[in-house]
Formats: sequence, C-alpha cells, structure tokens
Amino acid sequence: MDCESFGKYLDNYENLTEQEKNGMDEHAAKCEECRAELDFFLSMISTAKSLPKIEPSADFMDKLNARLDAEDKRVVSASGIIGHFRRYGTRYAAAAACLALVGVITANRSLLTGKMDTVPDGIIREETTVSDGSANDSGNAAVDNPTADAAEEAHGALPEAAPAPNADNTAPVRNTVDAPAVTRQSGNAPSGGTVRASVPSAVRETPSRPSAADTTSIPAVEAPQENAAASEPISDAEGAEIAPVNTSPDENVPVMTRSVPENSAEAYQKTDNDGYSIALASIVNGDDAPETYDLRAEDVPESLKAAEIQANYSLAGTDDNDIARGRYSKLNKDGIPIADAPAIGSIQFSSDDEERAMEVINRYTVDEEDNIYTTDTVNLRLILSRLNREGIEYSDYTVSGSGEVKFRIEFN
Amino acid sequence: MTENDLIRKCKKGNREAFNALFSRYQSQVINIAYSMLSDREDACDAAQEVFVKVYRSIASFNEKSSFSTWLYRITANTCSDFLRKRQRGGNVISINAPSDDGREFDIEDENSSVDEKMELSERQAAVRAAINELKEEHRIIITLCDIEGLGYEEISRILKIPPGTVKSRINRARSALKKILMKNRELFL
Repeated sequence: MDCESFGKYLDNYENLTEQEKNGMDEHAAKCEECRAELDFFLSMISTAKSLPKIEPSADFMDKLNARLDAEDKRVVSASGIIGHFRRYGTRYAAAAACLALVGVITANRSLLTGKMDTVPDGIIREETTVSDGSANDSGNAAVDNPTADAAEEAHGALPEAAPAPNADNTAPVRNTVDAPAVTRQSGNAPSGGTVRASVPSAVRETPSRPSAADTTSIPAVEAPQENAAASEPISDAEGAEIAPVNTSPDENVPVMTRSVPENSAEAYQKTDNDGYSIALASIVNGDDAPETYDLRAEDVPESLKAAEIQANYSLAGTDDNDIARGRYSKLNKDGIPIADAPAIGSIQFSSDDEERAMEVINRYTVDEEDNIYTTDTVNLRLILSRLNREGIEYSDYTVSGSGEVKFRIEFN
Repeated sequence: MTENDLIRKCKKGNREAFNALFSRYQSQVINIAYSMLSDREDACDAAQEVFVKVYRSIASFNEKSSFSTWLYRITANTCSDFLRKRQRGGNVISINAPSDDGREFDIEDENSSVDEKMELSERQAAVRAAINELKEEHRIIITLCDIEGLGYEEISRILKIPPGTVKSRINRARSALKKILMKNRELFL
C-alpha cells in the first residue's frame, strides 16, 4: 500500500474489511505521515463518540404536559366546530337551497310576469323557457355529463366521454406528458368520465390514487381552457416533470396533493407516516418570492384549501428542501420550488424489494451521490421497464423531454 | 409494562402511558436534538415539539418499524425544520460553552488526570463546534452513527436510505468533519 491508496482507504474507512484495515496499519507503521493521519482520524471519531450527554431539565415533562393540554383543547375546539356543522349541516343546506331558489325566481321575475301579463288567462304555456340566467339558454338545462360537454366546448368532440365504471369516485386523472412506455400494471379502476386537456396522444394515465378522485374532474367543467394549462404536470427548468408519486391509501405512502390556485394562493399539503402532516402554503404576491409558511395541514386557512383538487403530484425537492421526505420548499408563483438545483423526484419501493430494486437501479444509473441518483431519460425508462418486468412495485416517475434526470430512492 | 402495551394505551389517548413512554425516550431525543442543533435551549424546544407530534399522530404509527425508529425519524425531521428556520432567520447559534452548566464536559473516567480531562474537554469542544459547521445531512449521520452509536440498519430505516448509502454518507461526513478540524489538528495528536 502506498500513501495515495492509504488516503483513499481512509476516506472509505467505514466500508473497509478488517484485512484492509490491517493493511493500513502495516503501512502506517512504516510511514509517519500516514500514521499521524490515521491517529487524527481515529481520535476524531473517538472524541465524537465520547461527547457527553445532556440531561433534560427537571421541568421538561411538566412543560410538555402543559403543551399536550393545550393540544387537547385545540383538538376539542376544532371538533366542536366540525360537530356543529355535522349536526346542523342539513339546515344550512336547506337555507342555501332556499336562497338559491329565491335568486332564480328573482332573476326571472320579469320574464314570468311579462308572460302572465301578455296571456289573457294568466297560464304560462308549455313552450315558455325559464332561464336561470346562465349562458345555457338553449333550453337544455339538464346536463348529464357536464365534464364532457365543457370539454367539447373547449376542444371539439371527444372520442369517448362516457365514464367508466366507478368513474365518479375512483381513479383520478393523472396527466403526464411524454410519459414512458412503461405503465404500472397494478392499480385500481381505469379512469373515466374525466377530461384530459392539452395532452398529447402519447399520454398514458396511470391507474392509481383513489384519493381526491371525486374532485379532479370538476375544474374541467368550470373553466376548461384555464384548467388545461393548470393540469400540466409541474416541470423544472429543464422540462423534467416532477414525479407524481403513486400514492395509495396505505398509510405508509406519503400523499401529496396540489390544490389549484385560488385567490392568488396555493396550498400544498402532505400527510405522511413520519408522525406529522406538513402543509406548505405559498401566498403568491406577484413576484417569484412568495411568502412561505410552514403549517400543519389543519392550520392552513380553509380558504387556501377551498380550491378543487386538480391532480396529485409529488413535489420534487432540492438538496436542502426535500419535499419528498416531508420537507418543504419555497415556491414560485407557478408552484414550482425555487431552487438553483434542478428538481429531484423520488421513487419509492417497498423495503421488501430493496435488494432487487437496487440491483436494477444500479445497472442503469450513471452516478450516485448522497442518495441522489443521476441518469438520463432513456435509462430511467429502462429502469421502470425492468422494474415492471420483474414485478417490483414502485411509485410512478414520469419524465418529459430528454436530458439528465435526478431522483431519490426511498423505501417504505 | 412493555413498550407495545404503552403504545396501545397511547393510541387510546391514555396520558399516563404517554408520560411513561416519553420519559423513557426524553434523554435520547434531547441529545439527538442537541447534537443536531448545538444549543441546549433549542434542543429542549425541539424535543418538546417532537413529543407533541408523537402525541398528535400516534394513531398513524403502524408499528411496522420500531417505535424508536419512528421517533428518531420525527426527531431528525423536526431538527431539520429548526435548522431551516434558523437559516431563514439568519440566526447565528453559538455553541454552548464548556462551562455552560458544569456538566457539559464532565468526564466519567475518574482515573483521568486533570490534564487529560482538559485535553479531552478541548477536543470535545472542537468536535462539537465542527459538527455545528457540517451541512445538515452530514450532521444527522454523524449524530446517529458516531454520537448515538446506532447501527447502519437502524439509521437506514430512520433516514429511509439504503444501508450502502448510510456507509458512504458516513464516510463523506467524517471527511468533512476532518477537514473542518484541521485547524485544531494538534489537539488530536
């Protein structure tokens, strides 16, 4: 062993075998400089291991219990409000319905009274159309499939707008652009009854994520054109799409939902199994440096969460702000993390598949540092394809364009 | 009462069970936080935050991993939040001085001479200060591996990274620590 390889061994000390460590000792016995390096290194580790512990203060548990008492009160208070609405919800709904009815009658008062004035017997004839004042005055007041109709209006005829079974309560829309040819085989019912706007023909929909499905189709009805843009996957500066994680009801799998911007505000919320849920609320104030608040999901103002959930995304993180692990990042006004580093997605596996998954990953990954794996889009497709062939369950990671792809690997 | 019994009672909202569980782990949590944050007060605040989070979300603990793994993961995440808030606020945290409370550098080995104790004390202060200069990722791995003495497998589960990555990260963290300590190298020779 020479001094150069001694240095390399020292940098890799934790991975060395006893035999290799013995080899270092042999060299150190002959080389004073390397001996000093080894002593310094070992002394440093030994000192770190010997750092004294501190003891909790005597009143630590008392203070903690005071906080837990406050936590209990907060929960009781919140549940009281919820209970109130549960109890009286039907009354509120009835009152709202009455108000709406009054509004419709008022809006059509002139029409109704005008007809009555002009008809001698005061009876309204069948052909009279009562309008609610909306744009749809053609007499076709009942819309069986508003989603399809709205989309037709925006994009022309749809090939198949008929909903699949359970389309109204399962299988949310997953809009991905230039998705790899790999489609995860497992999953729930296929999506249907929802509209994908501005999506090329190569798009696939990955069946998964039953949560929030009942709301994903709503925005397409209300403002198809705007939502066509809003439904584009979040992309980083290089066009790499931030990975939509295949979330499932399994409590192990973090669920990240993206709310549609409303009133210049966006709310990102995440629940995970790490003991807490984190929400990030980013208030867009017109520039690229929105105020950012660290909030628990339940503390996000209701107005921020009021928007319909458009789609589920796994937000990419950066070295310092790894959303995928339950952290948060500052977002720009488009909801994209502000960071110098390119966005990094994540792929999740079951820990049971760790060995097999890593074998596949390592085969096609060109670099790994600090658990950030770098490859290109072609190799990423190969990885996903291989995982699929070998029956290894994984969270989805879709990419668009070409170029370098970075991702983390997490095991649940 | 076993830990599993306590957890079951905690899930039913039994405060006494929480107190018993938290008492068992308060020292570990505070010390991980102290290693991460290098500030006694922040460490205590972070530990309180950790236990409140556990209290709030014990129902979501699915017992697939051990409680300590789950708890330490929450601790690591909470400390990361503290560090990030500190960075955002531009606060500069000074390392607690050795004389902070007279216990910081107590040496357990009664056979050590006064000089040896002083040297060790200085080395410990230097290492503590150097850890405070490490980036977060390295700080947590040194804390869990070298200071808390946890095994690769457990660290792997806490940080949700493969065991191989744990090892390579430890190597990198130690190299970074060594680099910072070069200016105090004479203390270690």
